[in-house]
Amino acid sequence: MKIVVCCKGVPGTVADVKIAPGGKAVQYQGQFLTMNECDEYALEEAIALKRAHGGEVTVLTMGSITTQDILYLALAKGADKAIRIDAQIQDSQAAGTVLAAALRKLEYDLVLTGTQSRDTLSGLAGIATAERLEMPFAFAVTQVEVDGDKTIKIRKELGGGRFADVRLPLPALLCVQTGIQPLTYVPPARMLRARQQALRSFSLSDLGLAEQQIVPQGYHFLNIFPPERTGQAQFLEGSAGEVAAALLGKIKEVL
Amino acid sequence: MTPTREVYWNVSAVWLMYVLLIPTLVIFTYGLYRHLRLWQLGKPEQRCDLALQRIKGLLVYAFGHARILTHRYAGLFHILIFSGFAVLFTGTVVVMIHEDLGLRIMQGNFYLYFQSLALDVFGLLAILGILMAVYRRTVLKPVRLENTWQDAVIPALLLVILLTGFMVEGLRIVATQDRWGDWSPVGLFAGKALTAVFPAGVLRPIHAFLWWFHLLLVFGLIAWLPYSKLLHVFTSAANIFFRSLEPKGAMVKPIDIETAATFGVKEISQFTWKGLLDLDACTECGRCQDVCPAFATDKPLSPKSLILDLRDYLHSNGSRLQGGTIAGPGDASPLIGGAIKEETLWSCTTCMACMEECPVFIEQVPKIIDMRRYLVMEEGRFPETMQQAIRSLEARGHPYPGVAASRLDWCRGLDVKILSQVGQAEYLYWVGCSVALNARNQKIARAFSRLLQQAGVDFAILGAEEHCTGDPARRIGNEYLFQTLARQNIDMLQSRLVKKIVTTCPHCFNSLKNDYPKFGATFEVYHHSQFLAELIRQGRLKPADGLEGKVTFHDPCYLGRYNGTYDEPREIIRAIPGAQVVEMGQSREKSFCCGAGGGMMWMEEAEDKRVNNRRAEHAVESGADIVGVACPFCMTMLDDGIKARKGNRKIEVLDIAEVLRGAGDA
Ligand code: SF4
Ligand code: SF4
Repeated sequence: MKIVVCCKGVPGTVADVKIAPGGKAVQYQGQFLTMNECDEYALEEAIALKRAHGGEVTVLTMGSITTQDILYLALAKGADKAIRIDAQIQDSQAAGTVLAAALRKLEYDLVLTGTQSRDTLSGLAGIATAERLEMPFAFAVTQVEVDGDKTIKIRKELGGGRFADVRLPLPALLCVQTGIQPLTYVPPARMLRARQQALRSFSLSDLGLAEQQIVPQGYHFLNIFPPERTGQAQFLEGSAGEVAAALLGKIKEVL
Repeated sequence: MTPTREVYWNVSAVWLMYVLLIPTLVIFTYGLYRHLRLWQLGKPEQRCDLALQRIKGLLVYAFGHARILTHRYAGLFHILIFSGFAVLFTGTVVVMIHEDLGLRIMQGNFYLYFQSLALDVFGLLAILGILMAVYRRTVLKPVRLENTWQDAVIPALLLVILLTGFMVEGLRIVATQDRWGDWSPVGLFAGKALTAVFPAGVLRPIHAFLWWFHLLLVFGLIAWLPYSKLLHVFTSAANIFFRSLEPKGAMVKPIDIETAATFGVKEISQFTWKGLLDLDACTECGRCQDVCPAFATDKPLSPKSLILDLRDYLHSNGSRLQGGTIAGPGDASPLIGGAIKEETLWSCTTCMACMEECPVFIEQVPKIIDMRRYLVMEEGRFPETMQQAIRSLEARGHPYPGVAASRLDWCRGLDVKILSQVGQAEYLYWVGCSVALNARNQKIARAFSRLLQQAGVDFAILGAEEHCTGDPARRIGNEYLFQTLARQNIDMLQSRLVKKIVTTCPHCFNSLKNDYPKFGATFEVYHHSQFLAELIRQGRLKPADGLEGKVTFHDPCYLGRYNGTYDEPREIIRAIPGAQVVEMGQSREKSFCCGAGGGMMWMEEAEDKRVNNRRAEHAVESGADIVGVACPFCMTMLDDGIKARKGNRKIEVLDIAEVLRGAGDA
């Protein structure tokens, strides 16, 4: 089975999300990027499927040269090939267009990705990609069962803690839920060896895409801003007795 | 007439002795050679520098028994046996020089005082020592000792050798009516006793028989020595000579990431030659096991068994490793997961108690870390909770997954300067993740900063620019991550022109002070206990009264054993009027770990096996009202330990800065 996993490089922590000058985009340049955790689960699932059924895993990401690190991580985890699309696109719909164009150049039976990225939280890129390729898809998948060449059986989450078992024809795209597999720790030795491996890269023109095809359509960030500190926390100073007295006073005030 | 004696009285065919000596020496040499070959399997390591210091160590620790004697009873009998045989051996050499080389030295006063009297006295003391040893093994039976057949045969053999020696001497004195016989009182006594028991006619044949019997036993002992436990006579001395001269805090060696083909120790030959010599140097005394907090709380780790399991593995796999064929079952079993269980490696708190205690300077901790390195860096196989800490370190620069606190939370309202904003300060206060990001420990930072402000110290913090020193990564075995963090931190500190650092965490302290210089750092580093003690000495801080009560101090491993700082924290407590220092049973060099070091902070431990609960018990037993700590990890551990106690005697856990500050506040 040939599997392609789409992974996004995101800032290390939510707290690290920086806003690009102009205030209309998340900044990736000069940022330490890690693999988006939701996508990491997709990668783990792909590797588990490969281990069980054989085949090949290709990871696909999009971004500047700094995103290469997450490709090495994927190789260290056990992916066979790694490809970077040299483009920086924030809009999920546009990202779907680009990913679909890249997928058209690849052979695959199954495409896996996470449900959403930690930074923009739109949850659209996977679905948009499937839509561009006119391919069946499922969202919030918690279990994948390969029982034939033509179809696949999956379990997906529904609301209210329920689940549904679904059968899909192949090729299909799955947005997997976190926790589908445990995340494995990548030992440094394997990471160092992965860094010796070659990566492929596609430019937008390699994919036959023109600039105007990838501008956001109908969906624009107007303003991105950090949370406003409401600043209501107050530290009480003094000995335990004094703090207790002050606290009691405050409670009485509001009662 | 010059006092002396006839050497081979009543002995015929002395040539036979020389003939027998040849196979004895051949067997002996072969035995030693076999060990030497095994040690050569190890990787190279420089341990021959600073010869004078090494020779001094040999005199103090091997001949002088400095560490052995810290245990009175065992130390006493060991030195009796050791010195007894050393003197008797010298006596034999004297005979050889006198007789075989023809240099007549065995005469006159030297003969009387040394060769007769001293030899007799030391021989007697050796007998006494052996009896004491046997008494300990059969009656006192300390748990750390396991008796094997060798532990019966060796004392018996030594005893018989000594006794027959005295008999031979005594029979000669009596039969020759030696006029200087009184100078050999023990021999004389033995001779008289034998004369009283046996008829005169058989005394000469008995003497001849005993002489040969004694000789055969001695030769047998020499030949057997390298194959027995007594090998430690040589290996222990060698191990003391080749011991690490690094401070304990710097004993873990960096890996050259660029050139290393593989990381850590997977196969026993990946230890250095000294690492392998360690294994043969172990005397099986069990002292390390006695002080090990993991062993004391029923974890699957005993530093003694670890060394002996490695040794047995080396011996049974030696021929395979030397390129020979697989000799027997169990031969090709893996080292890690086979001879050494993975759980064993994940039980060590790297507290260094074992290495502080070992009389022959065996290095357990670096071995444990080397094997962890293999598991972590090559296989990625280590406890899940530790993995989370390491992942967090990689992604967020601190080992606390899920913690969202900022590094500036603790200093709100305190007017603490941030280095990137003020540009310069005399001291950098390195807060450390475990202080800055933990609600309880943030109070330590507050107390310490207020003290610094009170004393008028010019200091600043890094705030968001501070990242973990990498200590947890290094001890867990992720040397790669440690070096990445170390290099980043050093670059950042240098770019901020930092010269002097003070920190409230002994782990940061040790890393900055002992680990970082290997990567080009040259900072002057202080632990806050040292710093506060100095401020008190200079009169810049004046503790006022207000603290009535007993304070016990829990020595953090990374401050005490790793860096030899024991006095300053106590000095601070003593400086507070009204405060009284009480000691726990295990303190200073013998301090019992809180259970957090070596990455164990991130291990889930079964409730009844927690090291911190044990230590909390010690603190309560000391009768103190307050346990003083000087480490944020100890704080968390002891605080939890005290809270988990069933008894109703609650005592407070306070950092040394809080103890001092609390007193100043009142
Ligand atoms: S360092 Fe401490 S925990 Fe580890 S083996 Fe030695 S005594 Fe035991
Ligand atoms: S390692 Fe050292 S302390 Fe432990 S049993 Fe061996 S000799 Fe004794």
